[in-house]
Amino acid sequence: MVWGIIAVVGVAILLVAIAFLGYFFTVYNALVQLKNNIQKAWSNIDVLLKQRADELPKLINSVKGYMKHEKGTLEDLTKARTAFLNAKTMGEKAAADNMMSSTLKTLFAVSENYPTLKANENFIQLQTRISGIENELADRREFYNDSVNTYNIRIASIPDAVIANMLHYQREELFKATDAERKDVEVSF
Amino acid sequence: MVMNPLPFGVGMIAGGGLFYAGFRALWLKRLIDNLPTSKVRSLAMGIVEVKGKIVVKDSVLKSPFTNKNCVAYRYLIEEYRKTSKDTSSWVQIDRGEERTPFYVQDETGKVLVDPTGAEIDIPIDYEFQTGFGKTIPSVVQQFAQKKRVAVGTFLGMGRKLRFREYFIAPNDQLFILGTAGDNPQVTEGTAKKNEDDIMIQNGKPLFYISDQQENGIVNKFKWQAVGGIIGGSVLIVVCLALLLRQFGML
Repeated sequence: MVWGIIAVVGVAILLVAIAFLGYFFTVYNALVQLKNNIQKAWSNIDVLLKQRADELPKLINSVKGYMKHEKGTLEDLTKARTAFLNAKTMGEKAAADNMMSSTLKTLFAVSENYPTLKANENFIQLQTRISGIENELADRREFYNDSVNTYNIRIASIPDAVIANMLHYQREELFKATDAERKDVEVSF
Repeated sequence: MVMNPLPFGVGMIAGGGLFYAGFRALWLKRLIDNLPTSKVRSLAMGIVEVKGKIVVKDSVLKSPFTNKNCVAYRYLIEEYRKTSKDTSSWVQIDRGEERTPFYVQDETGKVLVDPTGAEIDIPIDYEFQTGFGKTIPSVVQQFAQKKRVAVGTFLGMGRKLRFREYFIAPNDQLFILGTAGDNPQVTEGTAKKNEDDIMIQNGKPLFYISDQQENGIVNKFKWQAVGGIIGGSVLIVVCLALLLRQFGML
């Protein structure tokens, strides 16, 4: 009789322990997955940033003959590209990306002043391709921010906060648009 | 009174299964919770979550009992039988399914989905139960004949059968969690349309398709997890106690 009670209580305790451990591992693995999601989301942005940087020399070559009065914009674009190629950290790359995006926005806006350039097939193709990359980048920045937001909420919530603390997980920064990016481009005709 | 100890043993195994299913539901809930939804236009390779409307690719299937256009269906034919001396229950006598690739479209574009191997979680779209005075719809009758399932004839008398059908129709809104990869049917760089280049397909850790909203899916898994873990544990302990009692150890 006693052994029977011991067996039932023992199994109950064992199940509670398994449930507790299982929950711990599920939370632990989910946090690791969240951290990796952020890295992957960033890598997916980086791939597009590289693609866009590779397209820039072609774009500059195709417009420089037409846009003689926009030397400053083209120089800014070259500077932004160089800054991106020299960037080592995520922050530096993000800053270069913001610079590149706002300069490209200006360039495409002022290209409206040059009808012969607007009719150039090579330019149209490059503009379409770069605009496509820009749209994809916008989606992937949003995805990155969603991943970071989920992670930041999780590591601050109980019970995840306890495990996140054990793993020394810190808050991650969101990918923010600069003031220059948020500003509408003014074009004078 | 001496009872058969077998049901208690089966109960313990079922409890174990429920306990495991609870943890799987917890893992699924976390997986869906943690993965943001991707836009189709900027889909990256690897595990992705997308939401959108079904667009037909080349052809559609016809659902077996309602003859509706669909991209995937599952059917079940069951018979109400005596399963033991005192109990009767629905026993499956035939089942089947068919799936065909389709596109899923959101506000940014569309992407190809091959549903082969996916766990499709959709509610019943059609159910018919035979019975006295009920006429079996001709489509159901023809399908049953094709599958060599004898149905009751005169005034619905005869075998008590239940026909169930689940399907995903064009324009249905879907939630998909799967693996985005190259379309194996298309050589790299030769896709006639961009949307055929990448395909959402079966892959690790999961391929899951549902017509529910994400919140509903997460809630469902949450309650499955709670019910499975607690219910499974209680079932194991209770069945063990009854089993030991049966052998005079408690």
